[in-house]
Amino acid sequence: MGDRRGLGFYVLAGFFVLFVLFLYGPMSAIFILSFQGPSGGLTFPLNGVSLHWFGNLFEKQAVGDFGASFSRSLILGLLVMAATVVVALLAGLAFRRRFFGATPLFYLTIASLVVPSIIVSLGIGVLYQQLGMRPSWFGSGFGAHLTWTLPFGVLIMFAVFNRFSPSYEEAGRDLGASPWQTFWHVLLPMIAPSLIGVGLFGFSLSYDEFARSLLTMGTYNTLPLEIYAMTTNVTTPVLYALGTVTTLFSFLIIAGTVGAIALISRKRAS
Amino acid sequence: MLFLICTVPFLTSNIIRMISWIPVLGRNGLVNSTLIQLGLVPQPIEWLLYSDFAVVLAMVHLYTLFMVTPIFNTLMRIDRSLIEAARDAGASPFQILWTVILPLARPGMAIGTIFVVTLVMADYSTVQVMSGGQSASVALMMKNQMSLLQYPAAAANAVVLLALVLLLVGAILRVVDIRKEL
Repeated sequence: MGDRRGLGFYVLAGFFVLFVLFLYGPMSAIFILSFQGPSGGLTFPLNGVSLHWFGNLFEKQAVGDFGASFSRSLILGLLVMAATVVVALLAGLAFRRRFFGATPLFYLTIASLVVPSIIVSLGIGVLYQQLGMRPSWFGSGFGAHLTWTLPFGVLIMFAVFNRFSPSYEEAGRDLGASPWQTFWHVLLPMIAPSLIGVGLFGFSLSYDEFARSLLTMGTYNTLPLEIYAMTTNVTTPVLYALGTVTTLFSFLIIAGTVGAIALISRKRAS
Repeated sequence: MLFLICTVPFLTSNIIRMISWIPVLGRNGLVNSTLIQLGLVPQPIEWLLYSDFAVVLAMVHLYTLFMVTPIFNTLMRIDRSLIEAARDAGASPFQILWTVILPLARPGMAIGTIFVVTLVMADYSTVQVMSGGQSASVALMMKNQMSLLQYPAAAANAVVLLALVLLLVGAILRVVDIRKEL
């Protein structure tokens, strides 16, 4: 291009820095406050630095059972992730060809995405009640999360396959590979990074999902519901400690995923 | 890389990101104490937290990515030669932005609008936490009806809300064809 960077560039760059500050600022406030000393309150300034509230987090509390709800959220997230990756991949493959009912099916998928989440929650909750079944986090909760993660996964796979040239598969076929071999040795390695991305999306959307979980989780809460209950009842920095822990956990997952994708692309390059 | 920086916060918990505004905006929060120390205001500004302002601010914070990603996606796919052609034809930078880039970015904006509209329509937790129960939204009203076990009323609200959202989305879909834009 060779343009000189004009005034506009610096204005926009400044704006972007502000935007990033806007995104991360509040989060860092919570991060700092979670190291509040034992006598500290919910706001600045810090009364000493300690890990008191992190320790407090793992003790028995009046409101909220952190460990159990965390493991429930984790298991549910992994289940949702697996289901989303498999279905999104298969749906992406299917939609590469025209088939009967493709367009209505596509719009149904989109519809699931645009229906306000609380309506999904209400619908599933009421349906279970009418059928006389008890909602549970691994049953109705699992389904409720899929109504959110599946359309996302399918849309991403659409985008991937729209850019994927069929000539690679043709080349595989010309070399005498069976359809299964083409899928396993040609197609799958090429879209593996996107599949990992879909998995990450599925997991974190489910791990953070809240509105859809409201009426569908039954007796046992997932982590976001637990945190939400805590926001109205807990008045100590233990809330911030919890926020820091879950956020760090999310960061770990993201870093792991990005690392995995980078590793795969590097292996392919060599 | 810059895009990754923008994306990362959106993969962390919504509720945590929401309550993280509380120590920033609160009565003794960061903003208020800074303003007082600078001598700009004599006493804490009350409308920062638990107000409509806080709700809007938190929602913008929570949902921007759903607008950023689709627009990013469409902008990335604009052919650079179009911009060069416009420059060769003597267009000023502003004209390029207005007559070339903006029309091409329209599908991204439309898709982003769909996301944001539906997310905001369904939101009750942000409204409840950030307004301190002082303002209401349709979804919050539904949630309250549900917790009072008034399912018929909640269901009626749900139908109206659903019809409204689908109308809006239908109108937006007339402008763009999502399948082409992926």
